[in-house]
Amino acid sequence: MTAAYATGRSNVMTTLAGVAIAAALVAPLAVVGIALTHGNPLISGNAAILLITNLVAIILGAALVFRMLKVHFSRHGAGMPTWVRRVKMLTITDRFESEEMVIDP
Amino acid sequence: MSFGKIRFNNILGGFPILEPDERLDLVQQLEQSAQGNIAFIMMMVLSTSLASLGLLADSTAVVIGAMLVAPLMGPLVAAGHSLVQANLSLFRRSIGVAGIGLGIGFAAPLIFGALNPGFEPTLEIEARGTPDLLDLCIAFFPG
Repeated sequence: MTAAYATGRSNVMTTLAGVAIAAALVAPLAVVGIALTHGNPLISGNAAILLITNLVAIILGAALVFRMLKVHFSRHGAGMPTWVRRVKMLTITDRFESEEMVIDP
Repeated sequence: MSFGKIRFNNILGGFPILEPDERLDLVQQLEQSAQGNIAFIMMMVLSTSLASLGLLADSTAVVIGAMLVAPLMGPLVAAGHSLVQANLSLFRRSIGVAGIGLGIGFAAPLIFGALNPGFEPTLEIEARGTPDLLDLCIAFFPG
């Protein structure tokens, strides 16, 4: 939420918000690798779970703040309702063509 | 005044919203920051190397230093933005860039871990090995 707000509002400093994001991602990523080479799959797996849930939480937090800042959906999409497209994006089932989409901010 | 008609923005009142030209700038800025070029990959490798060494040395200061140089904010914020916009092409690209960055960054801890065999898990490592709901909330607010 912090990073999204700082990106949207140009009068807030962006750089330091990236540090908070990296705090949630870089350390677990390193722990996954280190614990794996030290033969400790339990810690490695736990850190991998932490990494993936952190990734999803960061994206959803950013999306929530952008929604509060009234970022619109783009209307010229693939011709289906926006909630269908969002579900398809989240479940990675977006196998339809979307290449010539027009961005309508 | 009927409570049924109160909408999201009325409750928030003075919450700032983006003007149309600000939104255009934002999209262009995010498309720039979600590009996975050689600088992104290089910073990712360097930051995970630093994080691995900090974790092995059990030094919080070094781990924080590694976070300072990590470039992951661009693609992840772009992914959140494209989710709101239902912008499939940017979403795919930013998730791909973040995935490639994490995948390449994963090589550094493997190397440094293999070079330092027989270490007991340090406190910093143990802390990441036992995630709970608090860690999830800590990830939600920076995003």
